[in-house]
Amino acid sequence: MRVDVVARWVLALAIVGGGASPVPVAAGTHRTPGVDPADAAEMVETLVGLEPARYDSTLAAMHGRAALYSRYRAAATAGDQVGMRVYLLLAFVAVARVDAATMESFSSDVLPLYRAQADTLLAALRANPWLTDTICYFLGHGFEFEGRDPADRPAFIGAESDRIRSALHKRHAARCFDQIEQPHRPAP
Amino acid sequence: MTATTYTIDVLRKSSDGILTFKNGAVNISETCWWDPKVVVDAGSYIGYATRMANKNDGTDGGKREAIWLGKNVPYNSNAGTADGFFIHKGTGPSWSDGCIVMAGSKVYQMWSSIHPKEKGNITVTIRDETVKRGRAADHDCTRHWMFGGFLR
Repeated sequence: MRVDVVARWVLALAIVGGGASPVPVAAGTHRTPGVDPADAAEMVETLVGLEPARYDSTLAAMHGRAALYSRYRAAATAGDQVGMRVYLLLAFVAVARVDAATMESFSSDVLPLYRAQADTLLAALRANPWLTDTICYFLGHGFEFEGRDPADRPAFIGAESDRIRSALHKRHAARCFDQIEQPHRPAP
Repeated sequence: MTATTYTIDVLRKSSDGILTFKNGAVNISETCWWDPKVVVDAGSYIGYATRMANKNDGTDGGKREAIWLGKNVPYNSNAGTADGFFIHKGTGPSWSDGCIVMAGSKVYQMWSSIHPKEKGNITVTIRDETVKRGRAADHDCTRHWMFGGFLR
């Protein structure tokens, strides 16, 4: 079976199947925004350690990975629900593949993303609780990454406690708070 | 005409190391750091002078300047291989999730002197400092004898 076919299935189950809101495209019709099949194939290929077929060199693949990150960060930051889910999936892929540079991007960017789109992010986590450990790790790590002062962490937890508890299942909320308070990178 | 190649040497000690690079008038010997939980294995790697597209804090105002270590780089005593290790700016291990970091001005100085960019024209050698063990010096033996004899 071709990788892009597998990718469609995997991402359909993991992301769109989780309940993305339909958007109107014409009077009386709706479509669920999907994931670009080439992006989906790249994510699956990366996750299973294959060179993405869409690039003709290793260097191009490195730059392509950064561009993929950038596209879905932008979509997530804009509040796009599918974009948010794919962006969070990319975090999982980065940890699974020990992709240092991409993990460093998530370490910088997840906390500002939460501040900008908390409800969308938490809704994506609610639909994909298996991502909780990874995303809350990056959320917590953001308080200390690149020399930041973690003094903001207690105030954040105080301010966001109710929102996180109401958005996530009790067990997942507890895991999330553990990671925010004392981040430990999930084992790949 | 032979293309110019460059050499970056990283000698790691316990929690930090020294990165050295020489190219014409550029002569760098600078402290570097890394995430102690994700450590690139010692070895030689083909490096590329490039930029990190998702970091907007380049010393020249553009994307962050960096040296990419290429594909399939082993880490944590060959626990796996990964494709995302770079040498880039940073002031301590908190700037790293596996990359090697050193002062931004030194990264920029090194990066600027490498031409062309986006080519595998750098050999990055990572070594771990080894501790040489041998016979203890005589004065150490004396001290041991004193502690073992008189002071017991």
